[in-house]
Amino acid sequence: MAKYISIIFSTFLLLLSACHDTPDYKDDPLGNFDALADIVGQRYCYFEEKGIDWKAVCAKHRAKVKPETGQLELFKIMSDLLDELQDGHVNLSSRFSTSYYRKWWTDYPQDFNLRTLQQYYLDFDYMSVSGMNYKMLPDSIGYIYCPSFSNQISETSLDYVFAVLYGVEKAKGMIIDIRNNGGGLLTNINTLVGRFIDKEICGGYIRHKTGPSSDAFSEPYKITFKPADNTHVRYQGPIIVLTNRSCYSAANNFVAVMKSLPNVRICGASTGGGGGLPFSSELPNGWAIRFSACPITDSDDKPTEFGIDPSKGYEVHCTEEELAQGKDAILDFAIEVYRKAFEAADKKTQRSFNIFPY
Amino acid sequence: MAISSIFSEMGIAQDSLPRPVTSTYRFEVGAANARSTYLSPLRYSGTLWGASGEWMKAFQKNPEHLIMTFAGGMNYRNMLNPPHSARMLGFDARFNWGLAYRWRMPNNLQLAAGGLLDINGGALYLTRNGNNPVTALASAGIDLDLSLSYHFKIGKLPILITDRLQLPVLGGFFSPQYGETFYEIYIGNHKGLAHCGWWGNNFGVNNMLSIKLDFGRTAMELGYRYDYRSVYANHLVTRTAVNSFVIGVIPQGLGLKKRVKANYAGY
Repeated sequence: MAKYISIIFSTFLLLLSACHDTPDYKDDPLGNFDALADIVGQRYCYFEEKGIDWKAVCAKHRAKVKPETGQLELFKIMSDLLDELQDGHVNLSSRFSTSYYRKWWTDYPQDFNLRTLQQYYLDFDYMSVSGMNYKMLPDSIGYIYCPSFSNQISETSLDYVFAVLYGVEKAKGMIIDIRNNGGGLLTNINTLVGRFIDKEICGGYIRHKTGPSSDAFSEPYKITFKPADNTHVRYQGPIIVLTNRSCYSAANNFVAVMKSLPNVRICGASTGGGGGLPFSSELPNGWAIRFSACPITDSDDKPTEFGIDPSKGYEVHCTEEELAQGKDAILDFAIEVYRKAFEAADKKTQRSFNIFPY
Repeated sequence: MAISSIFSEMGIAQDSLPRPVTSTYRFEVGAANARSTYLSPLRYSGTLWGASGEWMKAFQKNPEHLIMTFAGGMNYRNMLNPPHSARMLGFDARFNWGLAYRWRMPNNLQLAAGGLLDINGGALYLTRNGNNPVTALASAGIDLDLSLSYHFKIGKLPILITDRLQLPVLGGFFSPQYGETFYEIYIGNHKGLAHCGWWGNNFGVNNMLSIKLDFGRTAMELGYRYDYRSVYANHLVTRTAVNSFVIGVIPQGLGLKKRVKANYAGY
């Protein structure tokens, strides 16, 4: 009885819901390839900016797929297809491997050596909290190294970092070093930026796909940043943010927002980009796919996918030889900027100063 | 003979009769499947566990014909994709209040039709997704509520067979935009999230076939429930289906043994 009722209802439902078909792909090499091509083709957000003819690219790689293609080979073909997107936010994950596009940083100098920083500048002696390492450098410069945004930065931890550097040790300037920071939680950007502003600012815009067609995008939505409330420590003095090509995703977004603040300079090399917020999906064989879906632009609505350049006059690079000898040219440059500014201030009022006159 | 006729012959005004609440507490377990194209193109399948309660009472104004119902329940789903490489969890809760008009018909049949105010809240959570991990199962609206009952006896044991069908008719539901992440919703972009629902974009059916055994002081219910939902908005399709076995208890019985003269709501 129950079976018959179920059949009657199923027929009734098919009549009603047939107009909203969902695609069914076969779990075979071609079915999985087609699923990947469709998912990315309908949802990826940077085809136009990168000049990619996705259908042509898919046709080229699909020709390599045969019904008898094994999993390893299929994974390689799909990875090659995804590499055409030139996007570090694109990964294909199977039970035996995860694909990455690495050229966004491997084709550029590193401009950073963690050992050099820790040994010659921090003397292996620094404080750590919430994934941030911090120390007072000579000449009253507060230094914070933030290697990742993967873990949530707590407001309380930030209060202590600022209290130690600026309340106890009376730092006069701040260096935030995010070199090699590959990103993480975007909410950390709100937490950090809120400490450096005294009024609400526009930090950028975000869009999303509104449908499968390649030009179906929403209107830009303003991303606003609010100052931390008065129960937290805020810092409004000069800040130099140190960057290299390995700053990606949320770190790239942090740089884009900080660059729009008048009391901030970006120093070092251009960041790696990663301006598209990733979306997840999966293939019939269970492999997971991640790709950029929601483009985030800067406060002038310019793309951030291809990286953020340093501030004018602040582009600095470190050679491998210098780093091996214990010299970090980017950090040295930032320290020198502060040193000169402090000297100039000492000659004048001994009090407040403006190190970024332009 | 209809109960109302018996009461009339005895000179008992029905409005003055007590109107006991017929409470039913149910537990169910069954097979569930779900597909949300916001999360994945694959159909997940697994098991569902649910618990619910229903309270029915004859309505004061017209106790012979009007039945008031309040029900609440919650379900938990644990599902895997076809290759068993990812897990989807689901949780939802439902509350509804309704009023139905009943017709006592010959041959121990009873037909009831009415409406329900229905509120659902819950989510499907795909554990491995990053910025699009959840499809919200949130809706509110008016449902059509139909039931057909037949009671008979085997020996001295009164038995009631009921088929009850609930169909959402009009309402509202939640759906993110096609490619919108929860980060964008979190920072405040709520445009296009709420939708008016009708059968063209929010179809559902909840059918339960049950048999109730009335032991007098208590009654037992065994049933089969089929629940199907299909939502379409912003080029996204979400479909869930449940086939479950239901076991319930009615602590005070159904009144089929007529221990007390009263306006029972259950049949």
